[in-house]
Amino acid sequence: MRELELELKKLIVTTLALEDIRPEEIDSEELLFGEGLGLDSIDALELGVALRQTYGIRIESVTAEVREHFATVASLARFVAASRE
Amino acid sequence: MNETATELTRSRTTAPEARLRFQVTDWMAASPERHGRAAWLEWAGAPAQPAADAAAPVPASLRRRLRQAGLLAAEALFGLASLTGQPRLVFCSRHGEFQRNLNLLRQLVAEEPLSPTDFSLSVHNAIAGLISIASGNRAGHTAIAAGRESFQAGLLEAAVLVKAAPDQAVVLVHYDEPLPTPFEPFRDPAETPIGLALLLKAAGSGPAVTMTLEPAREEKAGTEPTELPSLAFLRFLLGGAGELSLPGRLRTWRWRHAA
Repeated sequence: MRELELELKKLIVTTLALEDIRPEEIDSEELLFGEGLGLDSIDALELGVALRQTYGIRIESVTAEVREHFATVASLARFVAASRE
Repeated sequence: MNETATELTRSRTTAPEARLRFQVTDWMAASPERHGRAAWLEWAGAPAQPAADAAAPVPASLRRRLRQAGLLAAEALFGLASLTGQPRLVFCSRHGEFQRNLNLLRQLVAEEPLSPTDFSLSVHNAIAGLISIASGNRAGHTAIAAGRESFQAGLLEAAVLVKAAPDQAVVLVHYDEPLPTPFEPFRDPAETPIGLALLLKAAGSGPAVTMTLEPAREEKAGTEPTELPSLAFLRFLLGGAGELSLPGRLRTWRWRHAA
């Protein structure tokens, strides 16, 4: 799971062009949106596209469940791992 | 142009009230080769000036959303040394961030999902919106595209705003980048990546300029410019030469240094 988390951190930094942040600097439990990393709704959509292209995961609509998956890198990693099984 | 339109242009542009006056109290430009006031003064052959206060850097949160032309626009705007209060913003660009639209077209052809960032920022006023949010400006903005005369039209809009509300400062931002491959056939030789910000006021320090519109002379109408109009204007502004006239499709744009 640690490996997948680092992979996702790299994906976040590259996809969202976070040029002042290194992947290792992102805490897996840190909130990605609003507080914490400070991402916004456009970033969420961009991340959704990246997940689809990288892992073949399709997110059809934004539900409360999806919001929970996108909360932190750790929750995102659990979601990606579960979706790949 | 038909007879009526010609008459209308002529009667409007020769009236004395068609003269607009404004002061350029601050300026900043940016290109891939030149950053900062000193580099542009040297480019214009103008005497060096004492270094101004360090300009605010473009916030990282804004930088990551912008492409080349938008970045140059932001660098110029944030580079204004005396950017205080809530100036009204006028953005003008011929092509805007065209690379972004090309990216979307390529994704459509490849049947890939469209980038939400590119999609949301692909309209012409998106860059103005993004930069106004990043600079906390709520004064309102205008985004203009007028072909080869985009800078001129933007300056006209800014000068009219100064005239209409003399107490309100106006910042004009011109930004552009050359059309990318495969659109070279539509690219003018003068096209170059540029960001230029001018702070316009009804009164204050800095060069005073008058602006007039005159009927285009047939032989020069629509001539392809040899220098980007915004750069020609900056050269005129810094050089202190008497006047600058740029022939346009329908009229000739003329600026003079005023007392």
